[in-house]
Amino acid sequence: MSLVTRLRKARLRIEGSKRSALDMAHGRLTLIGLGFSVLYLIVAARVVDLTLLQGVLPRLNGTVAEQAIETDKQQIAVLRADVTDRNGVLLATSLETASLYADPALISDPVRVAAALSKAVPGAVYGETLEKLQRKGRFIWLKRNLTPEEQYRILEMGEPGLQFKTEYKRIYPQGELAAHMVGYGSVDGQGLAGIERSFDELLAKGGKPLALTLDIRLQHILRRETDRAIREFSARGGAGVIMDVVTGEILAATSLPDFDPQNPSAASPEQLFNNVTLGVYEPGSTMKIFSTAALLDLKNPGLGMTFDTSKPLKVGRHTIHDYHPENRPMTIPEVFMHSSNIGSALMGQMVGTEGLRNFYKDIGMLDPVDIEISEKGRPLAPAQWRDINTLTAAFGHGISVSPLHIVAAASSIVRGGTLVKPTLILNEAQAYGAKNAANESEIRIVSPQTSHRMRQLMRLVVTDGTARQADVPGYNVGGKTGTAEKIVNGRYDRQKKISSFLGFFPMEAPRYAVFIMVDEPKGTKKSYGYATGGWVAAPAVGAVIGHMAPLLGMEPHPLNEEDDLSFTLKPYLHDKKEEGGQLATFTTE
Amino acid sequence: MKLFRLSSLLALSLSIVSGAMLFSTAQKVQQTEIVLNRAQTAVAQERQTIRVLRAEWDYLNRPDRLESLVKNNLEMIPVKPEAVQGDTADLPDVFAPIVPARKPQQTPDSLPAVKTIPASLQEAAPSLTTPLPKPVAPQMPQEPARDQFRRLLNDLTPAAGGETP
Repeated sequence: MSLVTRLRKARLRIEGSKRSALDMAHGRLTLIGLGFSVLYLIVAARVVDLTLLQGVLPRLNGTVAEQAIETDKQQIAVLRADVTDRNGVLLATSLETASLYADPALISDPVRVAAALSKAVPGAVYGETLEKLQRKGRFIWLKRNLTPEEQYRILEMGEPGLQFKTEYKRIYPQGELAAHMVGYGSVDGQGLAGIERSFDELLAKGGKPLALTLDIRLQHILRRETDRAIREFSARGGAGVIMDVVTGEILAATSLPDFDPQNPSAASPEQLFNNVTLGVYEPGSTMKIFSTAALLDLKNPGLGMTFDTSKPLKVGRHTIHDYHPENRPMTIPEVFMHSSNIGSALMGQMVGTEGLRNFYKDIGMLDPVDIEISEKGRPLAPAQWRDINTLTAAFGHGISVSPLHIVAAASSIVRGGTLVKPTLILNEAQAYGAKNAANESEIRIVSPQTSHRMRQLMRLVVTDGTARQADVPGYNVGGKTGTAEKIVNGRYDRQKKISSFLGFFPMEAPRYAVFIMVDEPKGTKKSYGYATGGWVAAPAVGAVIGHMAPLLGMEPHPLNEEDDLSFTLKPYLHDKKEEGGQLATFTTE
Repeated sequence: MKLFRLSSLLALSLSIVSGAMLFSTAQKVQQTEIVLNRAQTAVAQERQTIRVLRAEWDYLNRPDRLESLVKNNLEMIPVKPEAVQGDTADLPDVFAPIVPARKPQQTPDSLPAVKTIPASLQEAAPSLTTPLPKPVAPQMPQEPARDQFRRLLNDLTPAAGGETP
């Protein structure tokens, strides 16, 4: 019996004035009943939705809660860009770590939690932690960048007041290898030194990795050999640079002692100091490359021109001595080869104060070196150049420059006479070893003829002069040694030296410059007590070249004596056997 | 009062059907969004894992580490300048044979010298029908990325590094 027929029956029984009222009541009851059933249906549908559709189905699909995903998306956006070497090997990268913070309001028993924490986390001191946990507030950092093991131990404690925040930690997989160039950052990911500092904004934006010109294989060779020289001669520190003289790319640069960029706060100021670009030193005889080039380029003297080096040079109250006095007139190749201070001072005198100063200015010796890191040393040069300054500057004293100054300026002379700008950032459009378009410099420093003469002279230093230990058969190394006395309390100290060697190879068409400088080396039995550039740095540079050239796939070209670059200079050398000897064949050009 | 006219019933059922359809569509969208998010999370986690593995790879390939490993485990030295030859004409003409000539086997006097290869040895020679030895599957690292990450971090973080800000 349906509802409608029952209503009809009711209508039959009840008649009269009360009928309409009853009818209305029935209608209302029906409506209310309908309304409730709709409501119950909605509730039922919602229950099905919550329990089956949203509760069971996602679990069957294995879907994850949506909250975690939101945070993940945010973190990817702030990821700091990587730094790589020229072959894509990571020098700096950012990885996810957990950082621990406390919500003191949720910690009921600070004493117990602090005790457990100091046990679980090696760095957490009990008292300090306890003090932090008792503070007012809802957020207090306890330890940033936990290791996963520490995080696990803390999770095991199950303390609701200890919470984690995902952060990114800067990781330097190569460790100290290129620490001074790559630099390091703060806990908050801000770059504090090196490339990390000078490219901070770019790296913070994230995106593509920043490729440097460094090659970690060469970096390792250079660091190893520099370190070996420092240990062998019990030195304080050192620096090394390998540069492509064609493109200006710095393939390796090391400053020792170095530090772990992972933990720069543990490093001493000496370790953090960048000897390559920030430190300025009196370079000593390597500076003769520039005074000799200036003389050859500006005055065009014959190579047979002689300088009287028989007695110390007296200028005012200064006296200039030679380290290895030869006590006879010397030709230009001999002055260069034996590294005669007197001869170079006389050369400087010939060039003239104005000429030499301008030349030094042109090759960049008087300005901070132009490189992409911010740790750059300003050269120390006399404010007012007097004639004595010209004499000393000609053999590398009275003027202080960074090692990179020497490398870049000498490369400019040797590569053909045009200025080269050192760079640390790889121009990725160029393949390995291709010419860097930006470095197709047209700023001419010296003529190609002078450049060739300098190549010959530098080759002579290795074949016959002070740097014989730098030679690598087949690669025809050329270069110049430097031994400078350090100034201690305003006086030159004979015992404290800076010994260096700047080498180029192959000398017929120089491609790479290798420089090693050692700070305060002490002579050994093997070196007969000598601690000069020729004994300390030249063998190290030779070793670097011997390892790097085969690595780069360079073919050696052993040359006969007559084909060697230095051969044409041989007639200008006095025969040592004859006392006060005559030139073998003397020709003036 | 005609509550249950055909048109009202039709409208009611239509609205119920459309409501149900809307409900099921909304459910489908929600499910798909969850699947999408899950995929995105997986991608993000995979990326993070790749980053960790790359960092570890480059960390384990540090030149000084490789150098010491090679020194201790291999009989190899860096290429010397003398070993680099640009022109094949410069190479010596005569190569040492790769397979050294076999020395005549010394047979004890009591045994007669074997003139021909015995049939059993001939059969043992590999032929086309002999199945080739199965290639050994390269061993893939089984360690979960998390463990490697932890190891990397533990290696990098100095033991006494107390940096509590």
